[in-house]
This record gives sequence, structure tokens and C-alpha cells, in this order.
Amino acid sequence: MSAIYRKEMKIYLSGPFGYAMMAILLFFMGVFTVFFNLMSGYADFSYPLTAMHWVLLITIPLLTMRSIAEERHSRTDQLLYSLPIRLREVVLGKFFAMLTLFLLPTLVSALYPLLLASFGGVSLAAAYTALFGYILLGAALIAVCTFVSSLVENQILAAVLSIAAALAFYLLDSFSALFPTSALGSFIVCVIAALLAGVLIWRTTKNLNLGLAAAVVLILPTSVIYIINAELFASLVPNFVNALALFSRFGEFSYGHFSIPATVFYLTFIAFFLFLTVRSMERRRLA
Amino acid sequence: MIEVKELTKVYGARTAVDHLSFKINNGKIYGFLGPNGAGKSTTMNMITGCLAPTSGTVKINGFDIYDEPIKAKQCVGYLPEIPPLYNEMTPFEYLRFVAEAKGVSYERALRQVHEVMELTQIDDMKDRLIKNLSKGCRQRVGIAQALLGNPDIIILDEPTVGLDPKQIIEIRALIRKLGELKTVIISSHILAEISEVCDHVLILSNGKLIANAPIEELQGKSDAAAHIKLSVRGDEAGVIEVLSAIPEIETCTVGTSHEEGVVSLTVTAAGREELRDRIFFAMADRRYAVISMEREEATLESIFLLLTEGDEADAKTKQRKQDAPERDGEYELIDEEKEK
Repeated sequence: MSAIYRKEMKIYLSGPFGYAMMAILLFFMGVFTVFFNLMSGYADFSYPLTAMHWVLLITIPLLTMRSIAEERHSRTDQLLYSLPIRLREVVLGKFFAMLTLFLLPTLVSALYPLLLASFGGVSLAAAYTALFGYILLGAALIAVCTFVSSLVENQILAAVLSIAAALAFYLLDSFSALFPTSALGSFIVCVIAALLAGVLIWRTTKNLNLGLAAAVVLILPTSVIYIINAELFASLVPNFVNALALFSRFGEFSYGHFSIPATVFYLTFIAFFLFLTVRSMERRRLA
Repeated sequence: MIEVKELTKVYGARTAVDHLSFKINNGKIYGFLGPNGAGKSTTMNMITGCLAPTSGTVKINGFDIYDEPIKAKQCVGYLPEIPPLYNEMTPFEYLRFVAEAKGVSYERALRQVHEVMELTQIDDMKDRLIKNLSKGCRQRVGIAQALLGNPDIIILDEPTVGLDPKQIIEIRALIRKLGELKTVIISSHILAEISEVCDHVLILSNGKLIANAPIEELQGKSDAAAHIKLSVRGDEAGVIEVLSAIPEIETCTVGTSHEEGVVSLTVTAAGREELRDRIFFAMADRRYAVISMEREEATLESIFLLLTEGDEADAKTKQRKQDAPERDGEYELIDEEKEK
């Protein structure tokens, strides 16, 4: 893992790219701190961090776009497959390298609350809790976008899809209100999801029967449960969507409250997407 | 040692590699020969663990590549068809990374990197960015990478493709040098290359193994069917009459002549007896002037075409026969040739 980590760092820092990424993060962090904390006089460090969400939506996908897509594109993935190392070490090495590039400017920003505190009353505990949440959020985005990068061969496509994925997670919180709360509505959404899963399986395995079978297997028990107890479906979809909300979890930290459930959520989320990335690379070997 | 059993790879409806079984013993240079799309790269990718087979097993030094991938991969150095190089790194940095990833300790890694750079002659370009290197140099960096970690087996997929003649000669010399130290497997669709550097050939066609034999055995087979090509000044009927008087001559085909009054013929003789002298004197007796006469050695090319153009049943029996354990003498013979 350390070999992959060092290689990734070397590549990121061999050109202007890594430095540019860090400079952009630092620049916006500085601008937002000046705007919210100095000019507007808010003593809350979570305001600039919340404003940074939009910057993360663009910079994290740019940071991660080449991570796996470029290995595939330049056929260097064959080296990774033939080396006596495990794929999870490859993925973790890459993840930690990208996390380092994200953490370095964030650590510089970690000095800001100290500076602000020397001019007035700033709750350092609240500021650093918010910063902790911000780091977890960034790491979770890196994990999602790395997974997206493992799905395609083209860096630019990876960036576009990653931005779309990050944006989807960002908008999910606001969308959850739009989903139907009635049991019937949730049931219909479940059926549509099952059909989509069937289509997805059909397209990936090129086996129509398997796709149909998967859809039927998913729809039948759902229907049975719906007929037996429709109440179970009430608000199912909005609750599910809320459970996935990535950005609103940050809100829990921004009030200066160290949220263990949110921390666990972020760590699970990261582990899940890194696992998916490993699986996705493994699948390439099967193809 | 590599043991491949019933290795199969199916892509959708196409079978790229079809129930391949063979054994690679230590200390020789093996050549995978076959036209483009015969399944050479697919086979190599499966042996090195870059690709999962549909069915079948690969064992390297007794370790299954899928059950014990780390141990198996430590025994193999692989250069894929496209050298897997990072353009943003220098050869030195790149080789350091590969050595580290292969689990070589820091100091040994440094020593090994210098050793392989010396062996592959990339010392003087070690601090240039890989993206600025020529194709031949990139190929050598790729080979250097395969040598790190001191594996017993080096697998090189089409190592000379796209190189200029001088680079090809250099890479071939390097492969021969490697063959003295390790087991080397190279693939190529160029027959001359295989016959020049390899001790043993495996011929693939449409994913099937159609021949598996020491190189001189294959060439020896071809000698049995030697042709003689000759041009004689004289009338066709007379010339054929002279030739038919020699009992060893089996067939005699008249080709198109480019000169007035000259007959071009291809003569096939049974056995391996030298017939050129007798043909010459027989023609001289009748005062037919022999303009040219050459013995056409059937090359690997012709064997290859012969084997790949159908006649698979014959090829299979041939393969079975040649799967028998090799004789020790052959290896020495090749070595002597090398020294010359």
C-alpha cells in the first residue's frame, strides 16, 4: 500500500495539477473565511466550511478523475494486476494519497480558528468539530468519485460523472421532500427501482432472462409485503433517501456537536464505496 | 515452472483461448507463436493474473495464480504488450516504485534497480521523464520492470513490436542474455524472431495449441520435405525427361519462366539425399545449361502455415507426440549455436 501511496503522491506532485488543486481549496477557504468571519463578523467557523461544499463538488471530482480511469486508459492497470499486491491495497493507497492532497490545505485552514480566536470569542471546540465533519465529508466524496473513476476509461467522463454523482448526493437532501410519502407511492417507486435493477443486470450480463428473473424476484416479495401490510411502505422512500444524505450529515457537526452516528455513517460510507471500487477493478479482470 | 491446464477464455460468443494445456520448464527461452488474434496475449494475461480465465488453472512454481496470487506473482515478471509505464515518472522513480511494490526491501531495491538498469542499458536516461523516452527505451524500461524482484520466470508480450531494426537486435540480444539466467517466455507473430531467440516453440492458432516442440525438431521436420528450385535453359519436355530418369525425384512442377527458352521447375525429392549434383550432371550430359539451382529449406513459416491452415487432426497427434519429456542434448546444442 505504501508503494502505491508514494507513487500516487509523486505523480500528483510531479506536475502543476496537485498544487493547483490544493491552491484552489486554500484560496476558496481563505475567501470564505474572510467573507463570513472577518467582513460579516460571524464567529462561527462552520459557515465558510458549509460554503466550501460547492467548491468540493467540483474539486474532488477533478482530484479523483484520473485515479483509476487513467490507469485503465494507459494500460498501467496491467502492472497493478500483475504485481504481487492485493487490489484493496491499490485502492487504499490511491485513496490515502488523494485524502492527503485534500488534507494538506485543510490543515492550513485549521489555523484560521486560532487566528480568529485572538480577535474575539470563537468556540474552538465547535470550529474543530465542524472541521472534522468537513474532512469526513471530503473523504466520503473522494470515495464516491474514486468509485466512479473505476467505472470508466476516460478521465473527463469520470470527472463529469463524478460531478453528477456528487451533485446528486448534494441535492438528495432537498429532493427527499419531493418523494411521495404515501404507501402506494413508495410501493410504485420500489417496483420502478426493481425494474431498473433488472435492466441493469440485463445490460451488464447481456442475459435477458437473468435480468427478468432478478426483477421478478425483487418485485414479487415486495408486492406480497405490500398486500399484507401496506403501512410498512409509508414514507419508506423519503426515509431511505434521508438515510443516504451525505451533505446534511455535515450539519450535525456544524452545530458544534460531535455526532458519533454521523461519524459512523461517513466511515461506513467510505468503506462501502472503496469496497465497490475494489470490486469494480476485480470485475475488469474478469471481463 | 508453469503448469497450464485446460485454460479457456470465452468472450461472449467468441472463444479466445480454447482448453490450452502445457508445461513450461525452467531454464529455456520459450516462444509463443501465432497470428494476431490467436490468443497469445490473452494466454499471457491469464498466466500472470491480469485476466481471470473462464475455466482452467495456472500454477506457477506450484502456486495457483488465483488461490495464492501473491506467492505466484512473486515468481513472475511480466511485460504486457503495451509497457505499463507512468509518463510522469523517471525510469529510476518508476523502477523504485515497482521494486517496492514487489516487496523488495529498501536497500536491496536500490541495488536491484541499479542492476536491472545496467542490464537493460537505461543507466544514462534514468533521470529523464518516461514520456520523453523513445519507444525502444520505454520497452527496455518495461523489461527492466519485469526483472525486478528477481523472478524465476520472465514473460514478455511482443517485446520487439514497433521498434526499429537496431533496437530489435538490441532487445533480442537482451532476451538471449536473460535466457541464460531465467526462464523466458516471449510472444510474437514474427517467425524469424522466434526461430532466432527461442529454444522451444508453442504455436497457437484460434486459441488452440497446434504445436509444442523444440525449435530444431520443427525445423528438422521441414528438412524432410526439402524442395529444389531450378531454372534450366532448354525445352520443357527434354528437361522433364532428364529429371524423370532420377528415381529419387517424386514430383516435378513447372513454374512460369521469366526468360525465353528457360524452364523453371520445383522438384520435390523423397529422403534427405543430396540430389543437386546428380541433377547438374544429368543436365550437363544433355547439354542443358543449369542457370540457377537452390535448395529451398522449408522454414518455420511453411510449417506455421501448414499447421494453421487446417489439418488440425495431424497437428494434434504431433503435439501429443511432442509432449513427451525433452532430451537433454537439445539444450546444449542450442547453447553451442549461440556461442558461435
